[in-house]
Amino acid sequence: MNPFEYQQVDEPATAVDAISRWRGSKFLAGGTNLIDLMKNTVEQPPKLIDINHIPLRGIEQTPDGGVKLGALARNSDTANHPLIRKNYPLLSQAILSGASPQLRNMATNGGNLLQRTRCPYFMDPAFSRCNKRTPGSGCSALEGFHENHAILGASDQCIATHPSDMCVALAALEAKVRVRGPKGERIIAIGDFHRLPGTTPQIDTTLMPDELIVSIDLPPSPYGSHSHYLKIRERTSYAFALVSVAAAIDVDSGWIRGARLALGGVAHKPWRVEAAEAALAGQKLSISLFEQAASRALSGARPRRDNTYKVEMAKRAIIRALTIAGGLA
Amino acid sequence: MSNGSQGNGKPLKVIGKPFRKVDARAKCTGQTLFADDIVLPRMLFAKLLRSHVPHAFIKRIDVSRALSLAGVVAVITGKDLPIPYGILPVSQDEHTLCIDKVRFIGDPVAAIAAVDEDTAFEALSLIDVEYEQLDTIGSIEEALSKNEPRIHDYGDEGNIHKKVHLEFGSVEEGFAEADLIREDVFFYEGNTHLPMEQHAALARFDADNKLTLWSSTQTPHYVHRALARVLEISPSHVRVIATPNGGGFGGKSDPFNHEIAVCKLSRITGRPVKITLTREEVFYCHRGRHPVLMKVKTGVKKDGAITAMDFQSFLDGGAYGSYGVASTFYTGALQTVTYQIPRYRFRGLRAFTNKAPCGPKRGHGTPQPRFALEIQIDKIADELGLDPAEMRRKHLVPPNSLTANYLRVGSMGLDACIEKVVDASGWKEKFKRLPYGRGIGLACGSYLSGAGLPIYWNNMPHSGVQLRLDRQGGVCVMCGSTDIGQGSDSILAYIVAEVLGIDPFDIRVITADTDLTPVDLGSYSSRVTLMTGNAALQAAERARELLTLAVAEKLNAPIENITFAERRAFDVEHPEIGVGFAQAVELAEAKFGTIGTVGSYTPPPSAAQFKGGGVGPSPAYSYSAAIAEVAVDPDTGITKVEQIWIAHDVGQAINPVLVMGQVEGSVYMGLGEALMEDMAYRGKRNLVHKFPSLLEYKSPTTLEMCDVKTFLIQERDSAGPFGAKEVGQGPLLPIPPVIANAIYDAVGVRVDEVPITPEKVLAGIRAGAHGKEARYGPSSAPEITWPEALHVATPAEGGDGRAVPRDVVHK
Amino acid sequence: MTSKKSQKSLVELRINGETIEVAFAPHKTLLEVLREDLALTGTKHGCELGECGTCAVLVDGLPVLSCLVLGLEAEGREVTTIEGMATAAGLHPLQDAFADLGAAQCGYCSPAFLLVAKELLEVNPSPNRDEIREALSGNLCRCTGYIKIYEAVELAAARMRGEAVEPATESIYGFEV
Repeated sequence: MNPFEYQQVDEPATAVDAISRWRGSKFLAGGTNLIDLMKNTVEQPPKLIDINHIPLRGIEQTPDGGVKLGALARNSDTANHPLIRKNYPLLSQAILSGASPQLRNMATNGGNLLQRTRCPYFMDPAFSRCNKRTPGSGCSALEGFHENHAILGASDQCIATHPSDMCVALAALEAKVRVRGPKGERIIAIGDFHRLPGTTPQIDTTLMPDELIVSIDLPPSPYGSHSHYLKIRERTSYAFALVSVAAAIDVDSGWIRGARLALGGVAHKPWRVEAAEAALAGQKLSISLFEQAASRALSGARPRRDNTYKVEMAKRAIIRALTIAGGLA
Repeated sequence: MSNGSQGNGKPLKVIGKPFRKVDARAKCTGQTLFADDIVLPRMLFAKLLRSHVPHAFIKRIDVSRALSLAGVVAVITGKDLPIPYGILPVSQDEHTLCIDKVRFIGDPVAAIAAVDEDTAFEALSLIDVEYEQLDTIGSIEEALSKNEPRIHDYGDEGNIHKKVHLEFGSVEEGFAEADLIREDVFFYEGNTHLPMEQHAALARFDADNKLTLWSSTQTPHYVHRALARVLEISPSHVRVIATPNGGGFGGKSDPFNHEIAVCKLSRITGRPVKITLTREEVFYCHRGRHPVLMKVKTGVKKDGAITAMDFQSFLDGGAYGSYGVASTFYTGALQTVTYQIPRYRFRGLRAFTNKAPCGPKRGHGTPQPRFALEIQIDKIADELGLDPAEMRRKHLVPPNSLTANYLRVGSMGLDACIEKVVDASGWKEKFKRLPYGRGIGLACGSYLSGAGLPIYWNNMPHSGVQLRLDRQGGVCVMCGSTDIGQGSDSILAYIVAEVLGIDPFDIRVITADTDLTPVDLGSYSSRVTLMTGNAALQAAERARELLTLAVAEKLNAPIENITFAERRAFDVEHPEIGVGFAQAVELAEAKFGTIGTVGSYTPPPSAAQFKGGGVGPSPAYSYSAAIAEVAVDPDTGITKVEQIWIAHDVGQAINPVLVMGQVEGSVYMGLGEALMEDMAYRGKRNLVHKFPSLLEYKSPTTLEMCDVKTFLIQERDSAGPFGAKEVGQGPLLPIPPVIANAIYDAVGVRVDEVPITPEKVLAGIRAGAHGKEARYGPSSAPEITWPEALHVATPAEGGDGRAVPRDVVHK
Repeated sequence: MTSKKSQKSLVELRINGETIEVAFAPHKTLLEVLREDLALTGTKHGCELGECGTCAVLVDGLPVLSCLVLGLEAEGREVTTIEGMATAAGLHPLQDAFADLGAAQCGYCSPAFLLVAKELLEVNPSPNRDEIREALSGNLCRCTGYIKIYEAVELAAARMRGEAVEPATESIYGFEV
């Protein structure tokens, strides 16, 4: 690890002020995806601003019936919180399918949004070519090993995927990210928070370098237990999704009032498929309907040499997740 | 050898009982000192600079910038250690640091000693190396087709390290007698040991200029030999202490470059030098399971009796020899010890490739052929319409027999093993009767209880034990064996305690220190319980004899009446007349002087007298049978192993709870190899390990591990201490094939290679749906020119274990 | 040439109930501070990247990976390592059960398993097998196949609930048909 300076702050304003003063400095929260990257020198911040003492750990009901998740609430506390278990079981499921119990005890909600890709070429500086790590250097994954890479929304600059499970559920739940910068607070819809790589894959999100995430706001959810997070992975702990699906259905006696569908492991960001949602809305629950939705969700897929399997896998996962969410399983 | 019988029928007090391990308390309180836990004053920290290219000449190395960094104390390169080494006398092909050529990504080229780890790490980037890249050899096929560039300038030809061909009896005659001949091709992917402890070593030259190395090694004796030679120091000035291994599984059985490098750096700097490998570097040490392509031709009668077998194996050896020649022979050695194979031919080839070197992993060279054999037997049973359990049971190798390739089988509990798992699993109700997607399969295996021959040719014992008894009643047992978690330290204490009638925790165990302990060859080939156990037994019996004489004299009782139990020595006919154990030692010390005894063990001579016959003989063979029940999701191809029943013939469990742990651990490791573990490489030219990390190398977590029901079969073997045989490796063998066989029963798909990933199962299902063979696996093996066979007449043919001279064969 | 060193800070840590002053550089992880600066080598390392669970310790009672926590972050928090698990009264029941059942083979992953299991039993005194599996799913072990570890956690839990239990016969001698 490269040497760095360390500062503890205990309120958002100080945090924002500190980060504005030090170019390239980073906030330290759970550290689970920062310290590791610093160890392998992918990240080399000159200064770490430890924000763990800022009181942003709360999880509370909002007046509109939604829930506000403190940015520094731990993933494990969030997943196991009674409000989340009851009103947003999809989110609980998604969080608990990620990482490992100890990592979830450390990782924060805000940090989860800011996870960097697990593309091995990005993670390993022994490879000189990675546009995300070193803009303009090229992409080793294009011709290299890309079994686990994106099939949707990728560019010729970067085919990495976003590793988060939590964010896939947040996308389906239409969460809002509340951030604070030097000029005050603003709200970013979850769908706008993560970016596609385009020609600037080094930028993962629309969060500004001097902004601090303060909370994730969940609107009231009509889906309740009619939801399911399905994750396909190479082992049940310590593994990122090959493909994951967050499915939520607002059901009224066999009819779908509305549905939300988002995919993980397939793109540079949690991949919400509104076209598939539209195909579900107003229809009667059925497996054949789910099959249509799955086809529509993957219609724009552009797999590469080694990851074509993901297209079929994603379709089957969507069908199964919707089947379970809809209570047809 | 007395084999531990007490003569007077005294019931066993320690053997067979679930005592704690002697080091259990230390391990559960974090007090066990592993190599990296040792800290010495003025200690320096070392790092190795490793090649990032797979095959290249080293044109130039400039270490001057690294040397000028404050805190760097010494830097060495290949020319500082010109003498090569290697675990086998026939493969002395490694240098501590590469001199003119690197052969895989991870091959070290320089070593740094600095005042702390950060400085050493920083200095790595200040060493300038210029490489001239060479074309790479990435696979067996490529090694066969490309003689140039040669990875090594030795070996049988081009990039072929070794080719062997043995024939026992005439297989062609055997095939002529067969009612059915099957030919199948299998592939077993390589995988690695992945011990949780990364290798670490600490070297110090003492004030008298003698070297001590502490290292997480399974083979301190072989490291000792290598150090003396490479460093050009008298062996008597070298001391190797094997620290408790945080997992070995075969991965810490070679002398390693980092071990030698820290010794050299310590010599140069005059300070202790420690190195702890990173997880990434552990993947580069490797020495793991060889990827093996196999072609098996087997002839059988209608009842499943094998008439002949012709087995070919092609091993991808990686960049160095390591144990590879032995591994090659092992892929052909143990086929014959389970089912009767009257005529047998083996052809094996090992290729050099520009990948991390392969070597011995749990089961050394035998899980791959066992996978092929047990699946093929399943296919044969299917084709003949026979129950695979019954068919196997009908044709078992009889106990106390000699196989076609001259392996001497003693006790043989496989029949009992199969019976147990068949009964316990409900096999008869389930096999071929479960709904689609659920299946049950069976497979068996057998393994050595120690290799019958040492790695370097000599006539000395394989294991020695020294026992010291003092007048306070203290007993100290000293042995060169290394505890790698299997409990070998405890086995020594249990056996000595049983013989001397004391508590195992009364005994101090000193092991794996080449200055203090007699030689034991190391913790490999499942040899330790049998060999050190026998040596300990002999030493303890010799001590008991001295005590008996002194006590009999004191008690005025007949010598044959003196019994040792409950920390006492007494007259068995008048148990109230006796002395405490400490007093017994006092009496003996007064009579004979200081009480110290030794014991040693040399395996019986091998019946195999032909070249290559050194691999396979063992004093005793363990047996296992397993049944697996699986659920296969035909939509995703995901296999969930729900339950494994396994029976293992361990001869006699010295400590049943430790035996259970070895069985369960073997099942676990077999499960990982069967379903997910994969030492694969990225790129055809680049040959970068497919992510040397614990995240990307998928080993089973608690959520993948299946339920295991274990049955211990205890058919005592006269070769083992108290009848004990091995358990550390054998139970792994049936696991990969049992899962493959169960998957076939579940969805009708044959996956003839491991790991059996979901996409392979899906591919098989799809092939079946399209009217093709529902199978995934290699379709052919290379057609190559093999060397002329070494012919050996089988025992049934009146052979004497020697090769038939060439002119006789050709008449 | 001078190396890229950074200044040490003097920090007060609470480890196993003791207050300890220690000076270390900001980039040192809690794992490194424990092992290298405090000689508490019972905490092990398996990857130093958060991928194996071997370095788990309890911070404010919760299992975390000490390889991804900076030493500085531990200031003012209660850290428990394996060295703090046994008391003057003797071994923790989990340590006894691990010893009884051979749940520590090589013993390298054992400190982390023990601490994670300790927290589990504090939260859930009667975990079933699936709950134990889940709680331990972040800890890799290559020796045991986890089974003896589950059995030891179950045995310790029963003993901690005051039940007079011995290990199951099948755990020790195997099954009889």
